[in-house]
Amino acid sequence: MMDEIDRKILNLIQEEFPLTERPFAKIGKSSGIGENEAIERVRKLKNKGYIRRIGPVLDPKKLEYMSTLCGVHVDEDKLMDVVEEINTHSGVTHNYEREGELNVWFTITAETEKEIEGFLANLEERFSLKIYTFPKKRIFKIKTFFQV
Amino acid sequence: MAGSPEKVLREIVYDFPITERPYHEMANTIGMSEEELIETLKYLKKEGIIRRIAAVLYHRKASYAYNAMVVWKVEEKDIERVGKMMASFREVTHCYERDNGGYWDYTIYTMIHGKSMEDCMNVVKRISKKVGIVNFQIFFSKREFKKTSLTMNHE
Repeated sequence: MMDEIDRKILNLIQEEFPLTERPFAKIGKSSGIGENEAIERVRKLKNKGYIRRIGPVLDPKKLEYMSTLCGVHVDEDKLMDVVEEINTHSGVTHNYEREGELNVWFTITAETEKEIEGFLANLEERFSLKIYTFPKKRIFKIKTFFQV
Repeated sequence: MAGSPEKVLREIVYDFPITERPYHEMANTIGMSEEELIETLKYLKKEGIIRRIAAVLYHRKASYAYNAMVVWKVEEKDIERVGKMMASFREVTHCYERDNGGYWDYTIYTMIHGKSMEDCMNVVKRISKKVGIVNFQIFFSKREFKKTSLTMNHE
């Protein structure tokens, strides 16, 4: 179980992981523990599956990458084959089964629009699908912070 | 600048080692000094190419087990105002205006995370009441097939 210090660390490093030579010394200082204990605690939080990773979060827009949300209806009997194929693309960052007629929803990011179109066209043809795309027009919020 | 930003983006790991001097370790691997790596990362942050350097959590573990995609039918003239209002809800993690894909006529797409399905539903009700939009649909996630981060080192 997490204690108060773990929570403090998680809330802190979710916002920012220090960009300094000894990041854990800084994290320790802010949470009232030593550097070694900070390292130990973060390792434990990662091993227990609370932390997915620590690292850079990129802005695809600044990289001038193209991205879009896709929704598609896939019949149950070929669902896993389709999912597996979708997930092979390294630019597919989210892929969920959802309730509703369009039961598979994923996001894809690539360097060019052409690459995305090609990938989707290939999926459609191979599995006889109709993929709908919902590219974003305005961003009102992207938040990835979760109070723990 | 000594370390090329492009090289750093393509070659560093997106899952930092949890050690006393992670930047030192990563710098060694890609063949630059610790200082160069830190400076380059600072530059990339300043330019906004790196949104932030941070821990990314597993929401499920952190007990936000349910996520609902809620799509709302909002008229063009109201999108800016309504989008901002929806974004102000703590439980709304993502809020976009999106193209309707030629599939339906929903224009605002929100992601809502909650500890239970009921939690999510209550948030949707509160939003609907506050913004005065009653035409919406909720799609709860059933299975997560992939959730990862965008990286540039396609390993």
